[in-house]
Amino acid sequence: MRPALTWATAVVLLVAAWLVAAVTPDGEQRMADPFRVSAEIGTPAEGRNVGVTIRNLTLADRVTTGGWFAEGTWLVVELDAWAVHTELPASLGVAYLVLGDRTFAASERPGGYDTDASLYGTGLRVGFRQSGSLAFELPEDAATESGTLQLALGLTSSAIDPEPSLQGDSVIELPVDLATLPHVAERALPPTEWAAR
Amino acid sequence: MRRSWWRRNAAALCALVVLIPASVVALDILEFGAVRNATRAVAAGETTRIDGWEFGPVTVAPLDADAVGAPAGSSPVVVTIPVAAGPQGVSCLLPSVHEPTTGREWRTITTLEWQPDPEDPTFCTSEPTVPYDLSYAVLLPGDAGGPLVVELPLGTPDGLIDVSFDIGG
Amino acid sequence: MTEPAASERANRFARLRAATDRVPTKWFAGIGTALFLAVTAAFGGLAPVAADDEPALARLAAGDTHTSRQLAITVQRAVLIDELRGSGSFADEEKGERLLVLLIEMENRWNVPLRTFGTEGVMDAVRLDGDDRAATGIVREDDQTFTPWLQPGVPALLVFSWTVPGTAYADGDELKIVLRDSTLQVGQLLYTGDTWGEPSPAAIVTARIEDVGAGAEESQ
Repeated sequence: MRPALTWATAVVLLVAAWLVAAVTPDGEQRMADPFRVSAEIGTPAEGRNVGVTIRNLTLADRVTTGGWFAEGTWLVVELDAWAVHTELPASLGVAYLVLGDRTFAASERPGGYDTDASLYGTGLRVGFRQSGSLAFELPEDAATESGTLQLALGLTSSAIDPEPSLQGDSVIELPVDLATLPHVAERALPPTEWAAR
Repeated sequence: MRRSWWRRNAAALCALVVLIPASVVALDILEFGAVRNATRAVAAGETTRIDGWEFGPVTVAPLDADAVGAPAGSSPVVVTIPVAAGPQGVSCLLPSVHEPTTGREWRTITTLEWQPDPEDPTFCTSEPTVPYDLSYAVLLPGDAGGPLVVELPLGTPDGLIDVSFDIGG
Repeated sequence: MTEPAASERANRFARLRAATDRVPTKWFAGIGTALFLAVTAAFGGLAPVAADDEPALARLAAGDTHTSRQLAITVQRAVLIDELRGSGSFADEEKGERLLVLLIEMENRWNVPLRTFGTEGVMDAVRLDGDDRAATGIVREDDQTFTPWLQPGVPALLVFSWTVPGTAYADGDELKIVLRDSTLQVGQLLYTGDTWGEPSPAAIVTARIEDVGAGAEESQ
């Protein structure tokens, strides 16, 4: 080929490559992004492997279950949860409340007292919805903040590094504004049960 | 007249014919084969022998949902795996029930009001030289019809083997 | 087409060889060493960071709070007790063991939850002077939650306990507790995420030990 044509072809290919790179979303960094599923109160939200229906959110100064209680600033999330296609494994171990630059994990304390007091870390079932709650222990100054509730399958231990634990799979997200929620003095945590069909 | 395009590029084409399938084989079998467990399929009603142990025929029998405290409309079942133990070295993980038509999978459940026979062991052990049954409850939804498969992962000196027992309809 | 280029390259090599031939071989070692030293000097020198260059450790008393980027730690009490059910630590009576128990309020000052039993540095933050063991038991004082999580900004009263020889400590002893700060290491290369590591002493809390004997009022 003539040199001019060779050079012209090279320039065209370079420009094309630059365009493709510019149009492609951030390549490697975004490869592991989670698949976000938006949820609304009362409506089922289903991702690839987990589904939830978040029924209500309440702030409470004191939460109780059986003989256990805890005081502070607690957010109680009542929800139904289920596994979509496999129970191997299907633990609801990723439950984060992101408020500003802080991420809180659901509290392990109610479930530690009685496994039926919390859905945190519970094995979800295929074809069956379990109803129960997640409780978040928050600092007092967080009671008026707003942010996002994130729910996904995984190990509860992954809360030490929330971002990597959300990578590559579905996460159900619900925007929350704590300032608009009812704030009660005491809330009894509902026991985990099979949800009415 | 020059030779046809095919003949001029014969060497390259031969290389492609060999390399493309070889890449598929290499990436699948060689790369992932080392990670996947060995598998073995057992037809309905059959037994299988591994390292001197005999497993099967595996059965799935229904339980009364109300009697065991399962949700209304569900189909709790008992998965029974007859075992004729052999020499030490084989261990069993918990079985699971799979529905090939939909891809759904269920694990065992311990919170129903049902217990296995207290005489039977609850895991693979060489101790009883007489054959015994391993029994587990699995909570299936009412619509889990169709052929089912019970998967039992076995640990052997040669590594893990996923044994799939066909149950049928 | 390639002939002139090859001979040009050959010329360049020949000139380089001729030039290096003029430098005495033993000079190469000297030049190399000088370059190496110059480069290391630019990076801070060869001497390792002096380990005994002890930064001034804060001296605190029980009730004082030590604050780091990760935690705010307040040691409240030091207690010697025969046994404490629910603490996670066990004393072998036959061996004459007892438990040394610290009541510590901790607040997670970081922006994600921390485990008290993991590698994130909370377990490494408290040491008894002269004992390099981490506490054998860490539980919440209120509901005895074992190895609890610390949520950001939520203070928690914790019970740290160690199994110790019965003769090691006595009532009235001034116990020195070493508080160690960990540094945040942002994930690099193959590791994603942040981790805490390299705990190093930052403060010494001196607390008087109370021997409560069998401690009926302590156990639940």
